[in-house]
Amino acid sequence: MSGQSHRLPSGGRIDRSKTVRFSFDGRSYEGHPGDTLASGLIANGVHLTGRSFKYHRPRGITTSGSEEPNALVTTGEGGRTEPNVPATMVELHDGLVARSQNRWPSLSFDLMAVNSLLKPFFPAGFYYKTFMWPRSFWYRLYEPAIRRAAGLGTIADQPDPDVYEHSYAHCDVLVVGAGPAGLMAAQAAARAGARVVLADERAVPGGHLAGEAIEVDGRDSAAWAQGICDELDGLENVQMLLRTSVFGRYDGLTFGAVERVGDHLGNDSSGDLRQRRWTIQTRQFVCATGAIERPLVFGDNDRPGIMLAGSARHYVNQYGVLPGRKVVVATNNDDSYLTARDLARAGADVTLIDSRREKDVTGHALLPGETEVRYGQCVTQTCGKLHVSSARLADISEPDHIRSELPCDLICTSGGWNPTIHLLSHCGARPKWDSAISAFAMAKVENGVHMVGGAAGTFELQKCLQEGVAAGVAAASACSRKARKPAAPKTEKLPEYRIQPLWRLPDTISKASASFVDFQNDVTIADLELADREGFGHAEHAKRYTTLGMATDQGKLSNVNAIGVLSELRGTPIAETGTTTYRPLYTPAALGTLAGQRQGAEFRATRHSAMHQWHEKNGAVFTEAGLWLRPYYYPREGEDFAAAVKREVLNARSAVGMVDVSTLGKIELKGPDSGQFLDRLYINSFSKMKTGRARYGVMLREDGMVFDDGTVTRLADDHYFITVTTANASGVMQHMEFCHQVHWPDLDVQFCSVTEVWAAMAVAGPKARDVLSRVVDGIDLSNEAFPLQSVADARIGDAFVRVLRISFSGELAYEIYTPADCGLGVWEAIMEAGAEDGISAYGTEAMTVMRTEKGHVAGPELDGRTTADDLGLGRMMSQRKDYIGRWLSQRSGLTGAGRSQLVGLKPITNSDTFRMGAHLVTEPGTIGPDVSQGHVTTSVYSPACDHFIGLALLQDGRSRTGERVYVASPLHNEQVEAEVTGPVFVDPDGERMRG
Amino acid sequence: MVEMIERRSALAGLLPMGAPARTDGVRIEELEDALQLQLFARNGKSGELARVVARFLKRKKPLAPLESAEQGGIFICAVGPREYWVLARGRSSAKNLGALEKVVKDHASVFEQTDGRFVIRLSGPRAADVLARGTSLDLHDPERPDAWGSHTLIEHIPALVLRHMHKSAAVYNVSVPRSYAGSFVAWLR
Repeated sequence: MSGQSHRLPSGGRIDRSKTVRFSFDGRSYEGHPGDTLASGLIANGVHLTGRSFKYHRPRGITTSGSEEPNALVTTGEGGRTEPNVPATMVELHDGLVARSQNRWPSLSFDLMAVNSLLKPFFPAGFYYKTFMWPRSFWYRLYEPAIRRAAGLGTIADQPDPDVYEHSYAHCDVLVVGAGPAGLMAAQAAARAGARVVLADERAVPGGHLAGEAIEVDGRDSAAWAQGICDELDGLENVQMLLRTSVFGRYDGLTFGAVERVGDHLGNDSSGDLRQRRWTIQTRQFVCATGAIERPLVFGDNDRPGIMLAGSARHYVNQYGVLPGRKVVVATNNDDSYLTARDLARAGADVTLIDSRREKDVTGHALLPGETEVRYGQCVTQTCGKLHVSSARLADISEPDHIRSELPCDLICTSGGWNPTIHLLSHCGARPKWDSAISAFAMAKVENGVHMVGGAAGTFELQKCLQEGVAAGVAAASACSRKARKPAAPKTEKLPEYRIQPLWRLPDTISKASASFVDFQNDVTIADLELADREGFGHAEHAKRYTTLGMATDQGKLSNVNAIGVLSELRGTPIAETGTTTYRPLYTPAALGTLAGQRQGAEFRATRHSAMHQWHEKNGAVFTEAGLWLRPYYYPREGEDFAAAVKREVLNARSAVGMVDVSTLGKIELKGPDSGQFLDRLYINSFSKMKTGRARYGVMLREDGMVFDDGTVTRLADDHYFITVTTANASGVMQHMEFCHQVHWPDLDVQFCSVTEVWAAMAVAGPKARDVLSRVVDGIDLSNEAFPLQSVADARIGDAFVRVLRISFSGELAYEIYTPADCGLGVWEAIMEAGAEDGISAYGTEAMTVMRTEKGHVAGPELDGRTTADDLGLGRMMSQRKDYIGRWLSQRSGLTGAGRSQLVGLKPITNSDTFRMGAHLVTEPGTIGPDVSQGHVTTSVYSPACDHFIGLALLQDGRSRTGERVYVASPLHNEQVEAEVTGPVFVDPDGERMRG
Repeated sequence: MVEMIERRSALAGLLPMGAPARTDGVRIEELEDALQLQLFARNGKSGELARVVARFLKRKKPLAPLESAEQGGIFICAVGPREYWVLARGRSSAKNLGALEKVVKDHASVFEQTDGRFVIRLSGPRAADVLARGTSLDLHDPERPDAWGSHTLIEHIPALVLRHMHKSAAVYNVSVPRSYAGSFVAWLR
């Protein structure tokens, strides 16, 4: 036990048979399994653990739980560095490395503490009033400087090597909090057969019982809690989630939680699971989250050595450490008498200062005879440098007059207890002021929610146990489980909890020294007074004015004290002063936990075609199309993007090329009304198209704008196969479902997505027929037997293929569809057969070049603002049938003069280039929304034309062929003169594709 | 002319994936010979289709929503209104599958899905724990029948989970669109 100066010789619920070594600020210490970093530091006499956010005041360990506002440290090294971790929640393990934050050059000598002297210049909201002049300095100087100074720790600058995952849990009853009420609720519900999840943020069950020296059911309270926990752990219908912080409640009864799976193990090999984020869906919710103690507000109440009273006895009873030997307990309620008792039993010299009158107190009987108690007094101020050394006391009736100064090394402070109601507040429930306990509590909860124990404002242990039992039974019954109501265990008789609020001392004290309300954001009573003076006295306003309650602790210690202070300042009841709204997360969560496995390349799912492996092997550069990865181009040695694309295009135009089109959306339709259904979806007709034929089709939205395009193939009288654009595949499917289910449920048609079933490839070029004739078995591919728009089933080897003669490139082309498992084999067979004709694969960019040369529209033109007529497809719009979008497409605004129509563009000077998105203007040097007459939708270098070409949407474009316009991109300071042409640049008569 | 075209599973080269520590207690295998069909009831024929399917499964009652049953190596699950998913294995089931198609042909449209999806089977005591890492389905809901199925997302990847009991232990067949194979296996790791 060497060096553990504050470790008691016996007691505590730690494993004294083993020693763990850890370091803080580079210095080595020893502790025991079961310790937290906070208890380990206290055991070694370390009380100074950090510096405050704004004034760099020395701070120490204030609490023993996740509400800790002061002892925030950085743990880990390298990629495992994690800042702002409460030392109270870090379980000690061998090799733990922790560092203090927000200090320079050292924790005990921090030069930035000069801020404390400058406090008068840094009141709340100072940044709203200062740094206003000169104006340009805000962005250049002030804001960067403030940002540099802000924050406590520093995040890791290396990748996090740990693994995180998500998981889902479902249950009948979720119990949050494994304190006395929560354990009882879980036990009662579980015994009734309900599926129970019991979650608690601490490593050991029992809630505050783990830190008490009282008896439950005739046993030590912690042992009793462990016994219940062991019973629950052995039940199949119970899932125990210790070390799990339920951080938020969302729609319905869905909860988010973080389980610290590996933090306490100290693993340092990468790949170990560190934390798991749970999504828990429950039918009944038992809120047994307990209560959080709040401090008293007095002068210099933030010094190291000033600790919440409940936490001090927690350290004594759970960890066997004595935080101080000369102790002042300052309180306004009876719970602190337990602290005075336990510290006195542990050997401390305790003086209890109670601001109430003696007749209002119930806890006297707990105190050992030698304990000094001063009623009607309060601590007004403290002294000390890096640790508290004395407390100045005054009568509560004359707080300006110091009656005495008590030397001490620990001040335990308690201003009462606040029910932990965050999880209910997350869904909008508003708490009400309960004057009996001087705290906010939930007066009413919705069906399926049960508040028990401290969370419900019940601070008597026996009642907590009873409430837990009742809630467990009620929750199980609500899930149709037959539950018997067992009797709650008996506890030792404890004094009744009474409180008399004490929000603040007179102005003279708060002006003479800093009286902190919010430790983490350095908000004092003076700041609240200023906020109130300036009209920000409502709790919600004051929060934003002063940043009170905005730090990672979410105001767990400060909010109620602030509301009490504001209430007095405003002279209004607390209920009228307002409350702030707690929002998720209850406690901070690592970003890695929220991301889970979705990191790096797996940030989102990717989709690969059946031929993806071939593309990778042949050096494809990929581009994203939705979730799909598609080959963009296939560079060969020495080729850049432009050279590769040019080669691919020229090869397809002069010989033969092949492109993977598996990503096209594919939908199969069956049923006698399939043709009629398609007639109503598309602007052109398909019900009379012959079997074995394919045709291009266009769909409109209800508002008459083009929605999607693709091919429709008739495979049998009642069987169609359609392709839709890659990016819009799911949208078209939803549109079809909507039309069928809502508009035309009478049509006997069934359809489903078969996108994944078929691998697809387009073989294009003058030698396409020669190549395919070598491998395709079962059909005559000659022009006479298999003309444009033909469809037939055939085989390549033993693989089934469906061959469509259609062309997007403008060349003689065939689309080959084959079951996806055969996709790679068929692709390789065609490649092999085409080798002697110089076949090569081409990517999506070459495909774009060729479709642009042919004036075919695609995504950039189908931008949701174009009609079929705008795109030159008006003649496809049937006049003999009704279809989605027909009537609205005839609105005058969509048919009159001035519509932007599809045209081609070519530069006057062949070497000029222009960009997609560039504007079309008629006068050089002009640009602006009022002079723009259109924009470039697609621009590519055309190997066939040997210069750039483009497609554009130009006002009344079709009547302006031959006109000269200026293609302007003011963002790039570019302007190029171009000629308006028809949209087809290559083979305008279509001889090649018909050849 | 080419004679043979190799059939290649979407999971080729991805499975077996070894035995990461976190999947201890789980057996993961691909059902390479899985055959899959989707049945949609014709208009006004959903009741008849339900009865025909029940007869095929040798059941007295039609399948309840999301309920699944097996007959002759063929699993059929009522995965949606008027919609059934059929999962069969290997050539031995092909004949039965043909028989099923024959009996439903007047009441349903049948869509072949075999090549569009791979099927991974998860079994073992921790199979549900592994699945729970990705799907929000309640895998232990006592109100579900022993055999059931449901469309879901597994870590944002669309999937159909089909559960049945084998020797008193739950077995999960997960049917996933083949293009997601890489991402699905990465998640499973």
